Amino acid sequence: MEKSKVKAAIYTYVAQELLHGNAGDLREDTPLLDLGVIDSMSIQKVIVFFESTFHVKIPDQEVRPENFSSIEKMASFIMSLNANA
Amino acid sequence: MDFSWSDEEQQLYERTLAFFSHLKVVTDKPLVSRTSDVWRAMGEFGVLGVAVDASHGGLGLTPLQTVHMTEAIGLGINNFGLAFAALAHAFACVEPIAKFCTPEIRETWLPRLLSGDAVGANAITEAEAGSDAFALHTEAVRDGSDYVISGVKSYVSNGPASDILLVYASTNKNAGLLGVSAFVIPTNMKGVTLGKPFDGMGLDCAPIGPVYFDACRIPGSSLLGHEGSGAQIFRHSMQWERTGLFGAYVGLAQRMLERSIVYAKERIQGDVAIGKHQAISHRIANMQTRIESARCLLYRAAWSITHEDRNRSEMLVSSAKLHVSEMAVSTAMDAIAIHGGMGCMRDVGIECALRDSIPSTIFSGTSDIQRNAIAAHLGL
Ligand SMILES: Cc1cc2nc3c(=O)[nH]c(=O)nc-3n(C[C@H](O)[C@H](O)[C@H](O)COP(=O)(O)OP(=O)(O)OC[C@H]3O[C@@H](n4cnc5c(N)ncnc54)[C@H](O)[C@@H]3O)c2cc1C
Repeated sequence: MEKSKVKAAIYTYVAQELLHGNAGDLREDTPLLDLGVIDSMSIQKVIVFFESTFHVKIPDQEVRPENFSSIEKMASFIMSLNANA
Repeated sequence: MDFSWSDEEQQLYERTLAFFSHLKVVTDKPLVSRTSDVWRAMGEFGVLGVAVDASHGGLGLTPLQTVHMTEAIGLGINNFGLAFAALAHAFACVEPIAKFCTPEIRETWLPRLLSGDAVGANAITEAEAGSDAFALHTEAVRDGSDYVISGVKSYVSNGPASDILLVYASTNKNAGLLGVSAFVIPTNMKGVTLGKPFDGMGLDCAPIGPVYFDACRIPGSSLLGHEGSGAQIFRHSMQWERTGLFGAYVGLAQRMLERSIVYAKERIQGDVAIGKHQAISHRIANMQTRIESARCLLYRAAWSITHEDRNRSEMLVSSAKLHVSEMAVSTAMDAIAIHGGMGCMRDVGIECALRDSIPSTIFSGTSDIQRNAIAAHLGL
């Protein structure tokens, strides 16, 4: 899968599921952890979404800020998992 | 999936049931304390390290074997608060410490925590971080090779009696829940103050209270795992607690059922035993059905932890925690109804099951939070 498509799928997911359609000026580098968009309630949803949509397995030790802090970081993370698969 | 028990597993169940049925609980002194004979006896029996790997001195049981054993505890013990305190210590403090801490801390603390020479507690909840467990204000700031911790934890089970705490604090405010780290903190460190126990509902001998950290300086080696792995460690410990501790609630409900059956046969009203009234016998039939379905779901969830992928097992564990806790409440209500006025009297030992069960729908994540987790796993 191309990174641009991964990014677009994550963008749509964040906008619709986590921001309930109120994406405002959501950007690829919007700090989602810092803003609390990804929190204890939503992280599990995001992991389930990644695993089912991109057919990857997310190891516990990879659930780190640098992999989830923005749409751009998440897309790069998914690409790295695909590359290593 | 096979839920039949080997001879060895069945013997452990029988021994546990006998041990807890005969445990002499004298409540004029604190039970949850390293100076308590009962606490040490539970350590000697192995309960305090039930989930710890055998290579580290624990019983090394699987989650499924664990719920079988804790079911016997809940069935046998007549002071459920003590079971709660021991299992909270075992699952939310001792197991994660054994699994994630440095060898140095493991060598210093684990033998004491396993033997009953120390009481452990887990401190995550704060006034403004309850269901949103990782919205923590407690901060751990790096200072050279140390961390300096400040903040207040509320509702720490065993906290007022604890010797060691597993504390979750933020090491990176900008990273939200992924900036949470876990630390092992002895309670005799300067800057730690244990609050007085709250006067809460049920779980009578288990002290639950706040803990205060005022610029408490701890060495870097107190960190479990790495910075930012607190959420992962907490989720791991909750998989144990939401199964292991809830096995004891299945046992408690089973005890209520057995007492209700005896009473329904003995108590005569209108010239017949009350169990002959369909209102009572159907109530008991419903209790039996609910307990058995909760037990099966709990076994299924515990089995899943070692046999299925994490997403599936987390969903099943949330379902089991939700179902067992709500089953325990309704079973206790039924037992009270069947015992009539007697069921409301403290010295009869029925109403306490309701007081002990209601908090189980709150701790380890409320019923609503379990439903949220289940829905999230279903993609909702
Ligand atoms: C007996 C007992 C022992 C405990 N032991 C410990 C311990 O050892 N260590 C520790 O750290 N903590 C402990 N706790 C704290 C416990 O984990 C919290 O009380 C629990 O997580 C709920 O948090 P809260 O009390 O702040 O309630 P809140 O989070 O304020 O919830 C209030 C109500 O709102 C609902 N709610 C909140 N958010 C949502 C949402 N997103 N969706 C739907 N409903 C929602 C809740 O379900 C609840 O009905 C214990 C609590 C009890 C009662």
